[in-house]
Amino acid sequence: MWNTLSRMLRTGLLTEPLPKLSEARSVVEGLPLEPMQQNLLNILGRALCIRHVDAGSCNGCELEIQALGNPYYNIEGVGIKFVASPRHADLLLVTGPVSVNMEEALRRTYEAMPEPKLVIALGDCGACGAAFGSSYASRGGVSNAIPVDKTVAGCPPSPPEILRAILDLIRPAADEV
Amino acid sequence: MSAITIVRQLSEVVLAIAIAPLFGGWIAQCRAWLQSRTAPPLIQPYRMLRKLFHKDAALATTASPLFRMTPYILFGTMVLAAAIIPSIATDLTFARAADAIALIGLFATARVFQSLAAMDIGTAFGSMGARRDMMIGFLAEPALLMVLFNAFLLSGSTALPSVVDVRTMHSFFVDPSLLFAAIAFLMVLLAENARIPIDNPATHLELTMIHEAMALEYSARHLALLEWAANLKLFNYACIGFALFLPWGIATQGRDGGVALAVAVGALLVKLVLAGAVLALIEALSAKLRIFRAPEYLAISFLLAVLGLLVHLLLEA
Amino acid sequence: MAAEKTDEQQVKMFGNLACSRIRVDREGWISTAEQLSESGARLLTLWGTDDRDQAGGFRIDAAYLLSDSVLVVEHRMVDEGEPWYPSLAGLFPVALRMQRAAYDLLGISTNESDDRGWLRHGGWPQMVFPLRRDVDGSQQYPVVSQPYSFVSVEGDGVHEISVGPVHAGTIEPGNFRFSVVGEKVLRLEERLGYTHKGVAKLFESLTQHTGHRLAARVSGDSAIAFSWAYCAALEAITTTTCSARALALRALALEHERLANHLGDLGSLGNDAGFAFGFTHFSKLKEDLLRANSVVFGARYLMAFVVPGGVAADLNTEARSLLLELYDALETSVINLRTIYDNHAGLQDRFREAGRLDRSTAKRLGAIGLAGRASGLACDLRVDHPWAPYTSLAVTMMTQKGGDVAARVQIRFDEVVESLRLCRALLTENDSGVIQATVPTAQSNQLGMGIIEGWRGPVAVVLETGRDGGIHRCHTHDPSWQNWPLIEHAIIGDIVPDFPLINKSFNLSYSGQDG
Repeated sequence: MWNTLSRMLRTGLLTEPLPKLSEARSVVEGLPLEPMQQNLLNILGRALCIRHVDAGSCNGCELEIQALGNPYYNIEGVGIKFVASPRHADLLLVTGPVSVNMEEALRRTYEAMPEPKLVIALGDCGACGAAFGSSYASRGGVSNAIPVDKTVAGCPPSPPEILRAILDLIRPAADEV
Repeated sequence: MSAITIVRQLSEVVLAIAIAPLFGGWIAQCRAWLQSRTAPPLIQPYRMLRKLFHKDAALATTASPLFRMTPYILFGTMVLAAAIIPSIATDLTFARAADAIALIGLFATARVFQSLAAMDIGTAFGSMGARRDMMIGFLAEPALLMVLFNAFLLSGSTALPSVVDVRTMHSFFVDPSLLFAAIAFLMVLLAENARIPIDNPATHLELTMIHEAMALEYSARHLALLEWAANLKLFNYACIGFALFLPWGIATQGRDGGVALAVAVGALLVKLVLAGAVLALIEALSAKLRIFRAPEYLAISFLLAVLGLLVHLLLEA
Repeated sequence: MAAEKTDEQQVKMFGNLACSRIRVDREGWISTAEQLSESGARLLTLWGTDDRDQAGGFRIDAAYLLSDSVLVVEHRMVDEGEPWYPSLAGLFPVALRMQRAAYDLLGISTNESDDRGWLRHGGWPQMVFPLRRDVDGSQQYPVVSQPYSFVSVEGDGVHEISVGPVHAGTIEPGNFRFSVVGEKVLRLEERLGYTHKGVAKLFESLTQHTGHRLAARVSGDSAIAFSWAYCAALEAITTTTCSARALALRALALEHERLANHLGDLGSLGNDAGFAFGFTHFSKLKEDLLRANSVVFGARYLMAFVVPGGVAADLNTEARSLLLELYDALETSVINLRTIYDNHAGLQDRFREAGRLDRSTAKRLGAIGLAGRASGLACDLRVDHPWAPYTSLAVTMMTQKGGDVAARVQIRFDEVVESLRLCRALLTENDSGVIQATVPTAQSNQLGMGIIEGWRGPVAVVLETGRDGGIHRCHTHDPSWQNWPLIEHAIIGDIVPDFPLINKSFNLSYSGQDG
């Protein structure tokens, strides 16, 4: 026990500052936000709950999402947490090109989420199918199965990129996080 | 029942409702520091509640009226419990109607409704969480009763306010029997409030969930009330612990003017800060017990409480 | 040690390990398997090929790991009517699921009675076999939901818990059907195949020199192992030799991959037992390693590092000192954390006796790789069948006897320390040479096999070249095929809440298995 305690004290706080918000931020690419939408996003954005669904990814994106929980990136410190039930979630984070075997599970998860809800398609696969494309076994991107609010490119995208994309989506009106 | 008494009672209830999430936020803050990370601001639980109240509730098609009522019932019983527990004052209107045994009955009511609601939808996880929670609950209750009996022996009454009154009359005195009872109480607190080592509140493993499994189907305002009720439950347990073992600072009968109340609130906050830090430390250093060790754990806490009783009887006789 | 039968013929094949290939008829298929089973060989992988465009009918191949080489047994189904071949599941239980997958893709059946789809969940029609030459792989079909008949357990008080495919955490999808009495698990049945993306069919539209990119993405956490296996197959076919430097860099990357996964698993195992301290510190160490990867190799996850002929880039000049510093820091931290883990009573109480897989069961079921070593089976290709540069590295094989979660935790600690030693050894060698040799285009119909010991176990890529630099067939094999059935046996007698810990201690690939 003393070993553990001393290691805790020696390590100190490891969390790094947040990645900068990008210049152009909007929920749906191109369309401006209405004041009510902005208000709602502000409320949502301060205490976001994310449900992740692997719709056929190779596991690379999952590893980078799991890295968001490490003390350096510390996504919980920003007020964002991952939840087990879609009923608790505000944001659906989907990885993979949507394999046909996962299509129904993905859709049901999306429908189980209460409004207002957002969807981010993560990785090149989620965005457009990438290496797996559109085939008998793959739908070729998350937008072919459920409506998507934002895509994050990368194979896999790094944790700061994922964090920046999530923050851009949920805090468009804020100047600082 | 004068106006000041009503004000006192109401202010205690309002205080409990208001700062219970803050207590949860403080424990999260301590836990984060022990995990070498920064925590979200202390008001994060309030932001979460505010967000949840803004969401549309998504209910399963198989949900019955019991399912929809349960969050309100849970919240109500916890608020009622907060009204009975002397957190800042002992001259409480409601406390005359219900003693500590009734308090345990309130917790039991909450547990029963929560388990029923969990089984309502018919998912496997709900039933799983419900049966595990009932097992923990029915073993924790006798242990808690034994702890309370320790305090009752000292004060001669089963009402918590009288326990506080009697205890504060002795100026800073540590009763060895209460030491055993305190450890037993801590163990029961961890078990009943779904904390490590019995349950992991931050778990993402559906098969190991106890408490969280019962809340999986709730959303929006129902979920907000459930979370608030859980925060209130922990706050209530902490206040019971303070009343039994660290009652100094509570405004007792006869000395409960405005100044005394303010001092009581301050004392309560200090005690909560310390309790939160201790809880977080215990959680950080422990691993979660295998579920079939939980009865052993609760048996130990029961035995410790009985030991406390014996010590008291031996020393006083 | 090829089997001596009269009606078999030697066929040429290439590989990074010593390998041979024989062609047999239907009786030979079974008799060879029997002989190999008796002599203690293990079935590595099984795949089918549609050779009808070369007037060859359907073909089934099985690769066996012998004590000193690899043997591929090939059987052509040239008779009339429905193509079928005798099942190997009686001799090698691991063949069962691989045969079901071969049926789902090609329509070649066996004499087994289990005809439930493994990769096919109703995503394409019953009579369409996607890997056949005459089927268009890009055609999409509407999903027709079909029930899957799990084996049910009868009895008083038995009920079922179904978990998945969407799991509560950030993890790949799979369905687990538990039959329980209270908390005690009577039976677990897995249903996988949810992440099937048609990789085998996609390979056939790639060229020999671009296939490694898809291979790296079969299982993202074994990107180096898969891409190396692919490149090794291609290089063996074209008899290209990589320089010593390129091989050393490949091995360094592979060991980094092993380290990253082991560190992540050790943290997750602590976390899954409620000990968040473990997760904090191990995930910190893993992040340090990945950031070093980024500086030294150019990317956190090395999906594009191993290319045919060598590697994509060399280390820069500061890399060596940076890495040596990192290894020292990692080693000190890991040893300290190991003491903490070993002395933490609550944690050890969760780890010990959970998910015990004894040696005889593991051997009978054909366990390989990390899971096999934790149950006392000494099988590590870096030691048994080393390939360059492991031939000169003298890797120590780490085994444990317990076969429970604690054993799999101990083995990860041991392998981390051993990997750090190997990394230091690889760094201190001053090899020279071009980091990427030119690989010529191979002729058609050459079969090559690359087998690399990835962090889970032996990863195999079988490459059969096609015309004009194309690919006729490419089959990828992840050791999770062998090890997934082990969990069904390891959990018997344990309780339901122990399953996540047991599953995580194996940490098998869903995507690598599904393909």
